[in-house]
Amino acid sequence: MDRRKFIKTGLAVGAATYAAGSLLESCGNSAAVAPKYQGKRLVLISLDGGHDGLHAIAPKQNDLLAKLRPQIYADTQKQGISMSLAGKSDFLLHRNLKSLMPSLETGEFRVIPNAGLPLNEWNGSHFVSQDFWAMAEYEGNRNPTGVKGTGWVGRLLEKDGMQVSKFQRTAIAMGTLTPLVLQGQRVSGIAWPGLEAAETMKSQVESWLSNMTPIENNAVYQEMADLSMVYQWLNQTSPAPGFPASGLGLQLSHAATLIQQDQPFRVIKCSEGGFDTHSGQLKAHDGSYPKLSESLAAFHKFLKTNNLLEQTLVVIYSEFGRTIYENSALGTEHGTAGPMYVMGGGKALSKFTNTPFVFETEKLTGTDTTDYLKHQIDFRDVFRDIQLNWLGVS
Amino acid sequence: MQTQHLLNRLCFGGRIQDLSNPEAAIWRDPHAAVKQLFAEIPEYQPLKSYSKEFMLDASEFARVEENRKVYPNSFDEITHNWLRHTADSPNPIVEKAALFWMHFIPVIGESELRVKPLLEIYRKNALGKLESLFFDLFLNPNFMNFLTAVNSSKDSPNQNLAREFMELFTLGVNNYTENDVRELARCFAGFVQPDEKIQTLTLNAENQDFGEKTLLGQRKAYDYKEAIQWIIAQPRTSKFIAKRVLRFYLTTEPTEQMIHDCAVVYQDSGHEFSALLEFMCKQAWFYTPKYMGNKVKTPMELLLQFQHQTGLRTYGLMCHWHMQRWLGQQLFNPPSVGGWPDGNQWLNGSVLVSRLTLLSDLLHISNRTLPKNGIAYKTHSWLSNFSLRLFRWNMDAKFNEDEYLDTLEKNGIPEAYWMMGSRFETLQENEKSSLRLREILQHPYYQYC
Repeated sequence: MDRRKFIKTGLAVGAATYAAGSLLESCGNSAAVAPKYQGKRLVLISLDGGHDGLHAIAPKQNDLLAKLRPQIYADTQKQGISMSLAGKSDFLLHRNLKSLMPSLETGEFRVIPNAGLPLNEWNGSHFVSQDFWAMAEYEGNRNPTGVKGTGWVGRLLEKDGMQVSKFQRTAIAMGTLTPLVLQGQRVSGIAWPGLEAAETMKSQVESWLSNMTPIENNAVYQEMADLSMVYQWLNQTSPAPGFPASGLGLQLSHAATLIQQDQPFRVIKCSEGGFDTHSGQLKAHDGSYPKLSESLAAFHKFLKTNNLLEQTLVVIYSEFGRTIYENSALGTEHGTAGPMYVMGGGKALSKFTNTPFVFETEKLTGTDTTDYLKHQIDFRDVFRDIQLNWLGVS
Repeated sequence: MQTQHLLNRLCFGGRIQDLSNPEAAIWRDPHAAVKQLFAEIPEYQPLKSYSKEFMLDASEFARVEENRKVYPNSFDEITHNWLRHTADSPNPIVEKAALFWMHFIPVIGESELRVKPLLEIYRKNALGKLESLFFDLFLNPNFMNFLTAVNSSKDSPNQNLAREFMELFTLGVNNYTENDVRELARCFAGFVQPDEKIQTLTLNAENQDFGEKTLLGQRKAYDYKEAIQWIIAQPRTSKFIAKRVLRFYLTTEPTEQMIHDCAVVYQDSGHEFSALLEFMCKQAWFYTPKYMGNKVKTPMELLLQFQHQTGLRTYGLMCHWHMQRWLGQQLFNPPSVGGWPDGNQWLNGSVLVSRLTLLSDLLHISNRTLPKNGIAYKTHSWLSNFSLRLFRWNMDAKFNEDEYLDTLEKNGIPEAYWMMGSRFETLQENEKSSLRLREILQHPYYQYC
């Protein structure tokens, strides 16, 4: 939003409240009437910080892992639960992810191993890589590093195929700011700050809304109206049950409620931090994995119980994987490829055939001595496929 | 006009006594104002505690004490002290610069014990040498823990600090190789904290790497100080920081020429921050109309400029805590090591709603307590010492918005904007004044400085 547009559209609000006199003399508020939606949905979950996928699921026997990450791999071998990937039963799942085992076995939770970028495009910075995943642009289209573009979902919001009836903001992020992935050129996704935050703003927002004449394309009005709308939806029922009281658990319980109510969000973005495990990784994951897997399992259960799993596709990813080698602080460094995980019903996941896990390494430069995990799958292709064949937007 | 712009950017807007006195020396010309402001920079002194002085009443004090037991690691009191001190400071150049460093090198605070010395490092070095700032930070347990650099040892050292140091604090992304990251991590190995109670780290020779390292093309047996100096000495560092300074103080789109000129001055001064700031404020481009009134206030600027300009003060510890939270910027709690967003991103999503309603919310609940979340706000001497002149915003109903915006784009902010509409001069009743003030605070113009 540029300054002129903001002042112009915002000014209309100022004028309206001014004309209406005291803000306190307000009465009821009419919520926007939004269309209902029962079609396909995408839930994106980013594991921020660079998640070590090799600690979540690792091959049972691997000499390079034993050599480069002796302590972490010893832990994996000691505590890991036997599981199979693409029909081969020689993998180990981290014990604290065991809540995912049932859906892994039924094929409703699948692993896309070693997703990433070709090494010449890879970047070791969190922020640059997070932007890469959000923009999902092929090299020719991409802005130079440091210049923000638009997110891949944000770009879709302006397309007819993405709208629900005439409703355009069909994406919502759990958080106070709209993340890049939902930012488009003209339209962006809604940011939902949580019930507690919305509660504090409620009375002001409602009095503004009741004093304002709805003005088309008024950014301020729209933010207020949309926030108020989501507040009413999430406040009218008790939160979806069975979710752990963690950051992601709470976000997913809100997502579950919105889906169950047939609200018009085709894309819901959640996130969880704390995966930048430069030190004490065993302890860190022992702390974060139970909450992560229980949140995902609760979401799976909720969707399945309510017959919503078939039309919901959940995609979990991180900006990069971590190094194969461990450091002296029992942590790992910024690496290259890492797994994406998908969760959903059979129809949604049929496109994600069980890709065999290929353990190959490569070096950054000719003189480099460090082994990095080679990427098998370009995440941009995965997102592109979801856009065309799942969301049905071209 | 130009002085107002200078005060907005270099400090937190003018103070009420200056704003209500158009004859004050400071308004005569911006260059004289720059000179005066830099000459009158107060000597460094550690923050004093405001917590008891501004507690609403005994019951709030009891509640804060209770909270302290439940959240022993809370450092709300430290950030509250800084905000209070800054709102009161007659010349907050230093505090604004400290805020720049808190943006530029953001750290998640661990506890009151840890955050207190960390904040003082930012304040003490705010206008001084970059090298001293880094030397102090590298011995601070909170900063080093945040970048997981404590207990890193020479065999496969932790690369977190090394990478972020080059990417975020000095050279900028893509100006170093992955090999530089690994080599710098070797230079930064060896820090330990022998005693949890002592807030200074020491080096353990057993964990240090005394061997030669190849860093940015030069091979040498660097220790951590030499490595910092070598990286700071790269012209890239001056350029990277100059750009961030311009983005923070002036515009999110500085020109290459501006960055270059500032970088040269910064480099030549031996990275003395006050030299860079003073140079920036004396340039003609600093006063280009298109940059005036065109920067989205960060939440801290919004919060502090409001208090600074009105003479109003928040009351009680928890108020600042709530405001930071709802505005989306909590000091010592950045979303990541990359810090907070800047510019238009603050006008995104629900943050915009909080921004537009929060300050007026606070005025609305003046002199009473909002029971739901315990925000308590009390104005002192309320509007009696408050002059609406400071906003100088013409709220005439016949105000022509299009014409106004045209003039604004052509000439920058016209005098009319800064002038008071005559009708406000006659307002006497607190009710009316408070209503007008509320409208000013939630006007879109107030989002910019």
